[in-house]
Amino acid sequence: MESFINGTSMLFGDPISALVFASGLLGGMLFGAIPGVNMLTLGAVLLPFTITMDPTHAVMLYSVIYCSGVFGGAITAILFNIPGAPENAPTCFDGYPMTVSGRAGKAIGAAVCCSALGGVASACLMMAATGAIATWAVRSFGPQEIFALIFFGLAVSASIGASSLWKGWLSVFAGLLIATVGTDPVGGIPRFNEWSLFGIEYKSYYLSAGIHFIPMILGFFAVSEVFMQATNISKGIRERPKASLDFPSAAEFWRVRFTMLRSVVIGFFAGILPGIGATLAAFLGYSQAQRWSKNRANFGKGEIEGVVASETANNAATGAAMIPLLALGLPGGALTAMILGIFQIHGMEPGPLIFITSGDLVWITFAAMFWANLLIVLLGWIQTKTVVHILRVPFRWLAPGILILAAIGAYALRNLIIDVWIMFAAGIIGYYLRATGYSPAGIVLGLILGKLGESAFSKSMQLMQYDYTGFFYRPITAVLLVCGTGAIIMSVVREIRGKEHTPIPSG
Amino acid sequence: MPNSSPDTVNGTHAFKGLGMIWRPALEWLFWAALVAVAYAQTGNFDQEISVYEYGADGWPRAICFAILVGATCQLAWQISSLRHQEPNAGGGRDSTSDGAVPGSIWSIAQRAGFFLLPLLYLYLVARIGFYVTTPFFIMSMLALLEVRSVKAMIAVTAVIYGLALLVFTRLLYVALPVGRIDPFYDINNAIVVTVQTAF
Repeated sequence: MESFINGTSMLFGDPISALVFASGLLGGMLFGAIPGVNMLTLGAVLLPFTITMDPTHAVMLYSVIYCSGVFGGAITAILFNIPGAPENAPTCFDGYPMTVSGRAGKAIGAAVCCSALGGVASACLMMAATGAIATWAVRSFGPQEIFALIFFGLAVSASIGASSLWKGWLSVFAGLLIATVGTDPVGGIPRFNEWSLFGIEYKSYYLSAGIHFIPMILGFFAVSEVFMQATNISKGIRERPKASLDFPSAAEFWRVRFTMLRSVVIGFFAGILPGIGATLAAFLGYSQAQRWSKNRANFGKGEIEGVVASETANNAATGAAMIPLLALGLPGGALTAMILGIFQIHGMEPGPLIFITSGDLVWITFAAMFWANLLIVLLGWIQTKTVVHILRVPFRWLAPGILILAAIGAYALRNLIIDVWIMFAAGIIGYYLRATGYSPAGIVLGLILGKLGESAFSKSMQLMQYDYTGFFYRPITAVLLVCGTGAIIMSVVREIRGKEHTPIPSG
Repeated sequence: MPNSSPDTVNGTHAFKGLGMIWRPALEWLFWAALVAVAYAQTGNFDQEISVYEYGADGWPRAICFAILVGATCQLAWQISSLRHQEPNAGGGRDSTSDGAVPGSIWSIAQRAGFFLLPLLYLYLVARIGFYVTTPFFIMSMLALLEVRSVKAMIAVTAVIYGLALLVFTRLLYVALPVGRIDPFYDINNAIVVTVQTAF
């Protein structure tokens, strides 16, 4: 409690911290609420500028953007059927039908209050649990456990965002392969910087430094989204949602109290798992709400409980996702990967020791996340009354600005025009990946976890003298590897059963 | 109703059927080609590392193998799905292609423009500079996105360009490309100096 009070006083006592906090809160909500742009766009655009920032301010800024951005993405999901981020996708299922039926205000109101509730509960649990997990991690987590955890995270998250299990796995493998470009983690030998193909030879010093994940994220998320929307415009698809401004009543919230509680628990535990985070939390929260609801027949037709479940769960995952990041150095998603990037930019290594070496940074971040979630209620209410009208700006006017922002963000990273080429290439590839059912999020996950995974694997092999059975002499490693393998087998079985039992849609 | 004749409809089905057969094979070929190229290139760095038995090429080769296994499983899966689909004559849940909507020449050119214009912009930015190229890019993009009002085009361009100059050149001092062709290089630098000193 004392650390939390100290963190709060550091947050609001320093004008620069307070300014960074307010900017992150408003920026996350605003970027989350503009179609085609999301918190990842803001995070990716701002990342190069964090080089000159104090690392405490930079990490705090991103954690606040994470909290407010996850909520902000619900606005576009509800009003336009465009999830601001993958974790807002289940919000579309009932949020958009509510808008179509003239109940947008109620849907947004439910999203505001439940995001705040999920986020605050998660922040409290995070403050109580991260310290314990970190202490335990110091004693229990070596390279073998890190490798096993990455394996487990990839095993349970591979198919997220893809249309089939195989496409999900192929997306992750593609990301892992891209991550090998650069230098190997043991001998520092350059890889894939020299090419000889059909007699043509190519050598790039740029590739020796590896492919940076920021242009890839900008391309896969921001640029491909612009291409998707632009293609829709060329097809004549231009829907204008109805907007109303009324909030849900207290009785409506009381009716869904168990759904909220269940989603907090699901969100928190899903958020802890690296590579899963808020997206799986939202999907699990939604599916469980549907399973236990008395109104399950109304799900997908504008049931407020659906919005409540997914928005509570995805915000409950935000605090939990910070636990593996801070305690183990494992990002749970694209934005937490950017936070990991900030640590790396400033020469810091997140992990158990961060609580000892950078206690101020940790507690100012915790305090900022708590207050950001609480302020979502106030700002979300104001946003419901105002930003809804700003969203009437046609996407056609926003698209060139998004592309310019993304191009500047990619270029400013290393002042290399090739980063912008990579970004646009990733945008085009991302567009086709989305159109063909592959998962850009899977590629980014593979790209980010690939280097960590290879490094942990090589260290493990050296420590165990290349004896693979050594993994199974360590209980945590063995459990994670067995669970990961079990998850793969289960997902394959589920895929096969799904094909056998699901009627295939025609046309 | 040009697409409603039976021949066209049958033709479309025939084309779809052909696509359904070839698409899984083409996807597998894509992954196999990627693996072949990547695996061949690992030969450029297969040096021994004294402290690490698997060398620098062990991990990438393992991933290549995993991709091949994944792609083959996917191919088998898709072929099996096709067998399930045949009685229904419909698309599987895997078929999310958006290319089924036929369009006019304008809409095809428009879609091609969405992808080519940013690449052309990027090519020109390195030569002519960010500050000269950007307003034209914004206006061209707006035209492609069917903004027809000249006033709206000018206003949107002014707002986006103005904000980019204000935030990145005036406030954050980001060194954006100024080009390398002589007159444009000078023009770009003049814009930078004006923005950074005039306001």
